[in-house]
Amino acid sequence: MSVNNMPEAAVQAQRLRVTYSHQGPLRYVGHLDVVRTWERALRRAEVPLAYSEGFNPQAKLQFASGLPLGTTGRAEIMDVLLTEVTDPAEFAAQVTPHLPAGLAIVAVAEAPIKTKALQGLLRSSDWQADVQTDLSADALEAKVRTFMDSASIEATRRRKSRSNTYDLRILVLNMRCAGQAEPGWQRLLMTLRSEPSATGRVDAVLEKLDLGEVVSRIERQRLIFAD
Amino acid sequence: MNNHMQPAEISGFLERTLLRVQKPARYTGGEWNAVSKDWDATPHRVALAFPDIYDLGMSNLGLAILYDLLNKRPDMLAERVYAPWTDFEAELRSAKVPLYSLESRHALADFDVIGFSLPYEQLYTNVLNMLDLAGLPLRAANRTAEHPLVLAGGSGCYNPEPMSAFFDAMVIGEGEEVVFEVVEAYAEWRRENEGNEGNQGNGRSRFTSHVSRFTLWQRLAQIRGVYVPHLYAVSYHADGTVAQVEPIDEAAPPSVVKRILPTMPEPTTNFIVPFVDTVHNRAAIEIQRGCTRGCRFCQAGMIFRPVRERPVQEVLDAVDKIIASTGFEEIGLLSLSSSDYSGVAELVEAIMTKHGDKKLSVGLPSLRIESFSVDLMEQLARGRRRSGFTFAPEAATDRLRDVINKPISTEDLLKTADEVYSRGWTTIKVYFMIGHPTQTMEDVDAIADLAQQVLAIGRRHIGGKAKVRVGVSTLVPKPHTPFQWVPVEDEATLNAQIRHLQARLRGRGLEFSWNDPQDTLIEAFLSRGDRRLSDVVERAWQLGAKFDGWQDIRSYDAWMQAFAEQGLDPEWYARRERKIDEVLPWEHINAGVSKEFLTLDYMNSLKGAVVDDCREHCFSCGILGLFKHDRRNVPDGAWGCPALGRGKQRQPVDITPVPLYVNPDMAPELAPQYGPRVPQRAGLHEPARS
Repeated sequence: MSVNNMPEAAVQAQRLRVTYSHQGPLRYVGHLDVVRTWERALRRAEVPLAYSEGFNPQAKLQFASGLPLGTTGRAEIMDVLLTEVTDPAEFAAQVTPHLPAGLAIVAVAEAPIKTKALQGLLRSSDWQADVQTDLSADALEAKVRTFMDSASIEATRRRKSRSNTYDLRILVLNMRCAGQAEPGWQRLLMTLRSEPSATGRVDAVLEKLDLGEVVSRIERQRLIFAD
Repeated sequence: MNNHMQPAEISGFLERTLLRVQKPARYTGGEWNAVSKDWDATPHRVALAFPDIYDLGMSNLGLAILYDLLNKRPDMLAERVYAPWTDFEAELRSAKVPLYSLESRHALADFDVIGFSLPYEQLYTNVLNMLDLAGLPLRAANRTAEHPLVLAGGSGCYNPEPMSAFFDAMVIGEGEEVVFEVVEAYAEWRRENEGNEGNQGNGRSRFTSHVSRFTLWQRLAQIRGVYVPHLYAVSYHADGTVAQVEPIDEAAPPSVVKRILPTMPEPTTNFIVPFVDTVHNRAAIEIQRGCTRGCRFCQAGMIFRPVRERPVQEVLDAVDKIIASTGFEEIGLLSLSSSDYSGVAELVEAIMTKHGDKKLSVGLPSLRIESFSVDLMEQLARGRRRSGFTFAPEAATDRLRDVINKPISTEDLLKTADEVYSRGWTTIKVYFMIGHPTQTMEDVDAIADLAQQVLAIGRRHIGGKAKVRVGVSTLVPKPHTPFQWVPVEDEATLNAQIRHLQARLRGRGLEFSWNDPQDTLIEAFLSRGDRRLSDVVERAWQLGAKFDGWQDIRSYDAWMQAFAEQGLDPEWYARRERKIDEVLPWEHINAGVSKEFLTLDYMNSLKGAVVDDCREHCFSCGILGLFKHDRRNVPDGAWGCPALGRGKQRQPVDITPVPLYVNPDMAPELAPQYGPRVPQRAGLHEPARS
């Protein structure tokens, strides 16, 4: 390739669907920075990444859903587009040594090269929230029951200067107490809607449960897609 | 505060707190390539501190180099610490948690050595803030034998006096070798003085009670390049100027000579890869140290002499290693003057041939204003978007550029601008300084003229898309430069000049940015002050001064009050023209460039006399005499300075800076003796013009 040419259009030969865990220091890293962290790890691993064309080529990584700052994930999902066909197991073995503390590959599978964006297929997600609280299990249970028995719960979403209200209740498909996680910590499990136009946030739910200022550890356990 | 709080407790605090602060990943550590060593099994522990936030500190190449070198030693560990942003500082203070290192989360007080980088003056108050957050006494004299050794390094140390009260020792010059000597000297002193009187709280034995820090200072002062301020006494004349700086102990040399490495050290390649965005989110390779151009305002060009080049192959190998070890999308090839790197064309071609398809962008700052630079930038940009192209003529008239010894011609600048716009760039950034000696309003006005001319060229090529960004800073005459005697321009004049430029640099396609003269004053007294400023710095910090480089945070009033309380005058430090025979507060620091040379070159500047690049003609600045032993031990071509020994091929040598030409407007009687205005290194890229 001559020096003054545009980069050659990347040929996408394969789509790999990567399930990974997102823990440790990554908990404090925003989604855009997580994307860059993955891209750099894949560059170090020298996998044949496909890039977008144009002036600022971007690696073709497609994430199902960015994790909110402060949360961890047990089985996050992204698609990686490659220019050469690579065995999924080999891909995992090649990439793993280059992952920073906090990222780990759980599974890699081949996916059809032409497919709808993961983001659009996502329907709901399972979450675990451990909260540090003096509340007894029964008291917490009662709060959860009150929440789930409500027909609607008005919540406010603030974005910069604007704020709008929405019904949080319809975004919570399921919620239950799962007992003590460790002394002083109670565990909640919930399934929230996660569609582009309707996404429930755990911190909003915790706020409406009226637990006061609590320290929490929130983890997304599973992403659930449309068939 | 428990300044020896344990890492587990600090981690607990972080979990409770981090989600309340901006960019919490600044405070977690755990990045790729961060080195976590076994704390208990490593005898010598060094904290490398940068007195600004993570986002800036992570881009500091000096600390990255020291981090790498120290951690390669099996018996040493180095961990990082940065200034917390104000939100996190408030959390630390309210929870009484000490400042801690990112790697192992040990409190700073538990380290053996804390090394601060002092790259510029606006960070000085942050050093005090960090020591305070660590629970350490601010002043070296108030620290006992139990406290860590607190060091400084970096170009701020070339005038160490304003910060001299706070450090045990300040390293002058290049740190790659001396850092080990200091850590070892500290360890040895500790070994000799440690008693068996129980535990200090960090797993170390207590000292026998009579040990004073003085013996540590004596030991450190004997290391070449290490300045121990407490072993010197400063006396003053009645008018406030320095009379004398004298050692008060035999261990301290009358003058501290900077350290240099005879050749470039092996490049660092395993850079830490930050999780969050930083100012220069990239790796960097120094391709060359030092500069031979001799711009008279430029401290870096004086203090980083001699010029040493890194061989092209070494740079290429480092690029490969960096890509493999970091995955960075961008690498900066750093030097003070990239165009003067003799292998620059070969290097750029080789990198782009090899990595052009790997989505790597390569930064090559500090290019000269000539068409060759446009070729290089075009190669580097390849298919990527071409945004800005930077020129730094620093002055807008030929005359004033002759005064500052940066003799680019306006004609060449415009010709290069034409090339830039014609090849698809849309923006040219042009940097100037105001406040140069002999500058008139005409020179200031010429900044606007030049910007307009550049914009007109852009319009001709690309119409309304053409942009010119004009950045104007104010000259702060720095220690160890030919301008070190020059006063800072007065505030009213600066404001008038800025207002004038604001009025003229309006409209479509033009952007103008400038420095606040109040910021300039802070920079000026801190860079030109004497030892008495330590009291001012401490008082200003007590009154709330910190982050002096951050417009929204810095407190000009705190500084003015601190000066008033100490009975000192900031204007006297910043805006007094100094006499040539005055003892300058930094005169006992030897940067290698002699006062005689600087004096003669200052005299030249007032005649508009330009001296050539010293690779073409050595003017005996002093560096070679001081380091002739090192010069003899490296190959002839390794330095910009002449090779030593009989029969060596080398540039002409003169014992004084002899002008290449003299500006006819400045010295009409002298000019005819010297001939026409020619570029420096005329023979190099283009024939001399008549």
